[in-house]
Amino acid sequence: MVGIINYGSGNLNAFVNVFKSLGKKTAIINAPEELKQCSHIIMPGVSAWDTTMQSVNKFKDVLLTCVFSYNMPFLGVCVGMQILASTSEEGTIDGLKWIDGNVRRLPVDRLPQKEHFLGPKLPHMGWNTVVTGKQTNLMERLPENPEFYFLHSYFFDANNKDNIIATAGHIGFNFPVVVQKKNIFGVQFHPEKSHINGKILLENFSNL
Amino acid sequence: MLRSRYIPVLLIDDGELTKTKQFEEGIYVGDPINAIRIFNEKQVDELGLFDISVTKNKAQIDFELLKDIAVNANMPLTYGGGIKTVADASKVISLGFEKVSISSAFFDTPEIVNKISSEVGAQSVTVCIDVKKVNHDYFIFTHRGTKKVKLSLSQALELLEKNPIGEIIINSIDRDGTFVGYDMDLAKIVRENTSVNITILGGCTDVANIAELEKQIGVCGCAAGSFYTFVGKNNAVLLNYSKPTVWLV
Repeated sequence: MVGIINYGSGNLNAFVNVFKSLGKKTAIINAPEELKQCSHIIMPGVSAWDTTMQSVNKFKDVLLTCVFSYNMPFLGVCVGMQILASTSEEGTIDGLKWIDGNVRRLPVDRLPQKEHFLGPKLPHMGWNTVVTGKQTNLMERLPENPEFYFLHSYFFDANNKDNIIATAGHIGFNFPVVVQKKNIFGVQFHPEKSHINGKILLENFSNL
Repeated sequence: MLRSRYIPVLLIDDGELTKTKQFEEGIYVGDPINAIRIFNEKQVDELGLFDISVTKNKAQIDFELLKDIAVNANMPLTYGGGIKTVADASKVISLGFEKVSISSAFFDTPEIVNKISSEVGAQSVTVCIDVKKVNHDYFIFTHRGTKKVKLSLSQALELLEKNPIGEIIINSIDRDGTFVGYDMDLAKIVRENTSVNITILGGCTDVANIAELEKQIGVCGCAAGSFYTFVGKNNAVLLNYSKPTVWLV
């Protein structure tokens, strides 16, 4: 059973719909203890950093048990991926520090004014191609350079190259969009809103 | 690389889908949930939903309907219509929408976008600007095109540079439902005066018109109501979806 953490903000139904169409069971997790009955954990993310971290911290103890003692596969999505880092330029609260790195703003602000107006914009919004650099079960069966839906202005600046599975390019800059450390996964895009490619990825996750 | 987004826009009036022409009384075009299912199958890039009855009628946001829509939708969603407070915006996001669109609330109290951004993240905040051309100049209107805003278009864009948001939707009232083509001059003016993502709405003729818009202003949101709602010479209601280029997914 895939547990989807409900921390008040985030797109839970979209995940439930995708898993339903795959014939997989899901549970919306409202209280930390309920996580222990699950086999997989998804941390959605449509929110600002501090709002997200305040909620995540209520789940932190149980998450540590499930992810590090029970070795449950964990998938963080969008801000849910970013919270795996140590800090974020978007907020002041510390992250989970599960994957070495920090969350930074995409460097569009450094472009000269004219290019700033006529060139690429923030947030990074829409459909972009993802380039996979490392093999992982999460990305199996996907086409080459699959498209996914993105909506964010900050990115996970992972320090350890071993943790970077895939990248995407925006404003002439490549940044990690899939990270992994053992059973911990993070994706910057929204698989729950990425039609067939998202469905494949979520099915791969639920089969881990 | 990031590509343009091709976005069908649906208008809600009292729980039903409607399609207006130049913001005048619309015609019934179907049921929202049915439309969501059709656009799911078509794997649309995004969907814009605007409830045009809320602000004008001083009604409440139909959260029940929005919940139903979000439960059924597999694509990224934007909702606009009657969002006045941080609580309204948070609730819409928590129902499963990716973005909220603010219009009259921004022109009444511009600071509201900062407050909403800090709660839900600036990437999820869109400001929709309804523009009408009067004597060769562009003016902003709210309340279904009935209330003129004091700010000029350039003043509004300048103000939005200072307030973090994710996207500006530029909706041409003159072109709404007319199939005469996007207002390219308006699109270019906006493109050259903002650093924010822009989505252009109003007047879309066909796929070639969308391609022309991209040629004129680069990667952007290409939105259309009537083009994705009607088919054929007699404008039969048939939700449809096409893009300028075939993208391999």
